[in-house]
Amino acid sequence: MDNKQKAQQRADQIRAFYDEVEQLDADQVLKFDAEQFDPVVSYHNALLDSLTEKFDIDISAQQKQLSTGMKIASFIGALALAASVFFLFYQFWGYFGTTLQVSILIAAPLFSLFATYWVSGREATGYFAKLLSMVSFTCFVLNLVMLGQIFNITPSENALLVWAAFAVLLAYAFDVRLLLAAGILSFAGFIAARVGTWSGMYWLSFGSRPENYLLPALIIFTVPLWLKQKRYSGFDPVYRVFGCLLFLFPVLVLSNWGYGSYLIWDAAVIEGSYQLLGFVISAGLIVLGIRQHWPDTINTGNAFFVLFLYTKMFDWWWDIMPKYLFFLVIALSSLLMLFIYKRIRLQSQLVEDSHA
Amino acid sequence: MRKLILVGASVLLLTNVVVLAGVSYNRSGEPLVSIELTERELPVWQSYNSADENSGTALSLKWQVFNPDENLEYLSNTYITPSWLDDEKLTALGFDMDILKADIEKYQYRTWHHSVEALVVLEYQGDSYQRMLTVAENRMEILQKRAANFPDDKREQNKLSNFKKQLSRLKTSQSRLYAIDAGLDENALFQKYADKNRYLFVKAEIGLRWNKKDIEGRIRQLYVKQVHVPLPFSNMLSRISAGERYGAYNTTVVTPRYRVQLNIGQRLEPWVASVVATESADSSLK
Repeated sequence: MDNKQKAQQRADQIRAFYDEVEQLDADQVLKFDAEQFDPVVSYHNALLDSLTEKFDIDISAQQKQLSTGMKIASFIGALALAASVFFLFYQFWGYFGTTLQVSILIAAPLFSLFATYWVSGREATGYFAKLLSMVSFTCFVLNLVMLGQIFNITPSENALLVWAAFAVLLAYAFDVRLLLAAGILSFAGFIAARVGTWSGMYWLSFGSRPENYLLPALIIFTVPLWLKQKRYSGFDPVYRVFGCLLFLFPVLVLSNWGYGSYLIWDAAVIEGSYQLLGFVISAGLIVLGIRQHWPDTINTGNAFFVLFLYTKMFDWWWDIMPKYLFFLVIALSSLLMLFIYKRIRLQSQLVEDSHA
Repeated sequence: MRKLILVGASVLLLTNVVVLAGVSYNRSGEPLVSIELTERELPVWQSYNSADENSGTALSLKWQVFNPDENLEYLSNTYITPSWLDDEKLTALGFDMDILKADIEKYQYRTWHHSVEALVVLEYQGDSYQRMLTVAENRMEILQKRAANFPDDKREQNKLSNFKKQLSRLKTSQSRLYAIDAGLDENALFQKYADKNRYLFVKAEIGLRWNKKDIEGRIRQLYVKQVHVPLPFSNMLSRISAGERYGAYNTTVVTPRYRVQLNIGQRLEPWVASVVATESADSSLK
């Protein structure tokens, strides 16, 4: 087992196996005799003990529910603690001299980094370490933002690059998907800002040129292809989902706002081209996701395909149709998509049965 | 994991070393600018959120653009096109005005994308401020005559009354820093405007805007909007500037209560070197 996710999948598989055995016994279809079944039970118990010790997985439904609760609590706790650190410094920094301000700003992320490392070695679940790693990242963001304010430093997009580097390091050190997402967004922001400055734009206006995000989106989407993430649970989907979002969201914006493009064609032509691109890419992502068994990619492609479709329908019909008719058309198109997906699903089932 | 932690710690330390080295370089040697400004040019920054818990103190940098229009209604301007920011200057800043003006239809909704980072020169208490006072006083005379000719016309009376307040602010509370030039060649500007006590140099974004059938230049923003005030000056400022403050939404006339020695360093980053109460503020504190 490479990571917690795979270990959890194995444990779920084992639990499902015993549930099915119990059901078959209840339905009087099949009953295993002790000679056959005991070695299997021993094997499974040993495997589950080993997986629990190594990855702290959930082996019962109740444990799973509690783990979900712990994840939510950890997430909220991390965000709240990060906000608290930020506002704590904000409230009191004016009473400190410059030397003390700088010392606190540099010490805070360092101290929280080493605290995270210390806690991770003593706590198997990893929740507290993840929480502290978020605090460490927040302290680093605060570090640079406040140094910039104290010394009136001209803002630079390089801050996004170092924040991205630190977030990604913490993400891989402590297996934190939230920090990986933060790192990806910072990296995308840096590339977009740097590309923007090459065209003469002030870097803080990087949000006003959606096309600046297309290149970083492609880079981010392809990361799992050239950097294996086996030991990290759920990192591949994070790269793919953010790659899709960073590509498709700008395309969606440009499909409605041609003036935001670097291209100097007629705005209507630009919008039409991006609309077409949006449909093609989102449909392509659905196909790619089905072929590669990437449910995250399928869902993202799906969501944007629907968004492009409904945006287009709004453009065509909102002004010329009565409202009830417009929403009826939306409903009918949803039903049509339901039939299409059902058909694709049936075909995929037939293909699997024929292989079996 | 230990390797990643060590790399992470290195990133933290190295980043801070680079940042502080930049600060040290900026403040090394003689400052490029060392100018004494007052509360008019550097009012204490006010948060619009009255519940703001920020204990830090900053000064806003206020500046103006000279408006030569004799029929002007407002005496506080940063969004108009400066007269010196003409096509020749915009071309020197890197805009291809011939292409842009040849097809205004194509570019009119895209002008806001065209911008360049340049160095703007702000003149303190100079020719632009004097000319602004002259234009304002001439306008005042015209409004007074009109109000005298139409004593029952409430609109004319209100216009006069409002303009009187604006003129009073222009003379007493409003910034005397006026943008007078911009360029890409910093050394050329430093040489041209060599008086350290009269000119400020600030990096800014200069962009274009579409105005009816024409494309004009505009100073979109100065990159320095606020200057942090460290201890002990922040305590001093809190005492001196307690009470009424001049700001965009508070149009009370406030006589400046403090003077600030502002330095600008090698990287064009400013810092506050000293804060002193003016004589009137000093006596009121005692």
